[in-house]
Amino acid sequence: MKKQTVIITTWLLTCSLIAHAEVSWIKIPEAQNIAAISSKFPVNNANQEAVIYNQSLLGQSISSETNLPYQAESRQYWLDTNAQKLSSGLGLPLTSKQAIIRINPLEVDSQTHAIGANQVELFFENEKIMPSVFADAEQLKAVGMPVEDHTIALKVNAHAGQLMLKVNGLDVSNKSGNKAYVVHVFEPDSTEVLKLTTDKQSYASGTDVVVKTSMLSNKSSVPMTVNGYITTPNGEKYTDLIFMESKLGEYQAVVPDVKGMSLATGLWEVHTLTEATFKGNKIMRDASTAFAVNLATATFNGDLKTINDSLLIGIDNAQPSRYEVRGVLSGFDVSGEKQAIALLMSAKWLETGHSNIELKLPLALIKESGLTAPFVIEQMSLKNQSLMAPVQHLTEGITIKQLPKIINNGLVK
Amino acid sequence: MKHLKWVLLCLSILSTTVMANTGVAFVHGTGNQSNAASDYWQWDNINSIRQGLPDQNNYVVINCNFEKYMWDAAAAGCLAGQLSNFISSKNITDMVVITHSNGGNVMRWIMSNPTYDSRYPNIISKIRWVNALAPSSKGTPLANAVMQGNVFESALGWLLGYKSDAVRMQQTSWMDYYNNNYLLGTAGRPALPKGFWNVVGSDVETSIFDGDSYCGGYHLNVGLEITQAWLNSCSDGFLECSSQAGAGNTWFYDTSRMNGGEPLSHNQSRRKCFGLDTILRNDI
Repeated sequence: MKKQTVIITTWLLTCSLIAHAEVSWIKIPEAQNIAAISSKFPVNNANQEAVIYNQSLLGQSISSETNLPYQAESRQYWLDTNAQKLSSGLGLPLTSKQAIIRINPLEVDSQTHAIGANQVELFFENEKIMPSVFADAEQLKAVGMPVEDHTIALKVNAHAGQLMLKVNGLDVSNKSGNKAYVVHVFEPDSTEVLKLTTDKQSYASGTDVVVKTSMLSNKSSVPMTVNGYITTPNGEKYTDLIFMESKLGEYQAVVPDVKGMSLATGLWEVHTLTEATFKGNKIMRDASTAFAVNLATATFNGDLKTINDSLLIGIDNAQPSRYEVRGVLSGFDVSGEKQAIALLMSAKWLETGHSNIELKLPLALIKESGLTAPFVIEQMSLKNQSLMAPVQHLTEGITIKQLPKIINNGLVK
Repeated sequence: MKHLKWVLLCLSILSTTVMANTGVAFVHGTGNQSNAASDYWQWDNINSIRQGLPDQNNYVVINCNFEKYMWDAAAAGCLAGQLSNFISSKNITDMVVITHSNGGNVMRWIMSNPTYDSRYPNIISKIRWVNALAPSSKGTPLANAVMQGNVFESALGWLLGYKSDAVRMQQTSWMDYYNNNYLLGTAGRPALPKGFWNVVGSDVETSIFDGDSYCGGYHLNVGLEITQAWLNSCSDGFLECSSQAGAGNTWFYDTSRMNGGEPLSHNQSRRKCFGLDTILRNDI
């Protein structure tokens, strides 16, 4: 009995040693500091059932991941105002021959009435002008623009200078004069453009977010005054931005050590509000763009085991959630070119502590591909599906020098 | 190419003497629908399209809350539930999904995230392909226009609920993030597991004297005179062509296939206009 136990144990160790020798991390993942999050964040996905899914990528050319940020451009600005100011007259700087002006009350209640076309007066250089188009909320919604109730929009033909907007018939008695409105000015043909971006689209938790913005007039940089702020995924203001001119015409702000939050309520956003003067004309431009911050509730812990055609990826977890691991499996063709084989995906519910998520090697698909070892699994990501948040992304993944052999059922592949 | 793959698939299926049981699913766009058949697609459109089915009763018109984010239980969760019920109750083995506008994003969510919900893999396995009518795959500048602004308007309005999650999500910078990190099918990314075929609307005709302008319901010029300012010359009045063609493959641009070379506005692409229904019917 003792001899049989020794033989069996030796055989099992040999099998496991063979499996570990052939599959390894290209670079063992650096474990990140992990923490649970506040219970105030809703759990978006509490599904407990594990799902493993492989999708063929045969014949597809998959680009390397770049994490390039979105480049926002703006030819528009918004102004906070109120009934009193609209009644007195509000100056709107323009830079081009056409403008779309949208006006809406900030909060709609039973006392709110839509502004009628006959209430609006426009003056340009003291001369009264008429809008070429007036549209109400229902007309805008009918064509798909999701505006608030009581919104109106005007199309105005003017030119660079100061347009005066006046709205008659608003209740400005007592507190009604303080009723908040927003005026939105968009100049589709303007050559004055505000550009806004971040240095990345996705950030690791606890890293710095760099915001860059510049104003161009006919593609030449224009000095400007820049204010801005960051909002969290749930729309709350996170911090104001302090911009410095980093090089001629470009302004930069750095938000240090931004910690991740649940993204189930949306994305982080940068908002900028700018003013400039060019050739005597005032330019106002506002822009926004979105980015994401990883939520470090779990981490790849460097464990990697193989059992037959399964790879068990070790995860340390601080937040009970549903997690997914995915990566692109590739092999090499006869000319030594790397080619994609499959997108490997696997998700399950993890409680806190040490655990693993299983990726399945698609042996039939690998055989069909005709590609050979070493196989690699790259673009590996760990996502928290319950909180819609990216957790960790690996620049280098797993290498498989030889496919595991399935032994326990006698089938060798 | 779209139909060659289907012919080969059919031959493969026939060779095993198992006949497909084909169904069609209609997936609406942004909005909280309770009667999409009547309100969104209209019955003459649905009834025309489903004539292409061997069993004309094998169709489902989805009613979900697509005011929510695409991943939300009320959006993709609801869609998955209704598609799963349709598949199981009618023993559907082959499903053509017809989406409109943001419905394409919700469908792409399911196809791109099969591990998110245990129902998704079975749904994906039953899809033959998706015919995406005017999908908002890269968002729209109109969402930027109504969501952005000062912190009070955008945040307060959204928190108060009069701006929907779906509109927030369809801002162009947001869709860029989701396309790069959560959705498949855009350039350089892995393709979707099943075909995603775009029908692109490229223009809006609003002549009061042109009867074609009235198909799908006439929308006064004034609204479009405003919204068109935010869009490129190639747009359907709500989405630019580049957004509609941003994921999957383009099946056709409207003027190349519609009767009389007519363009399809964003509303017309979900209605029985200019022979679109016939094309969709014959595609089943």
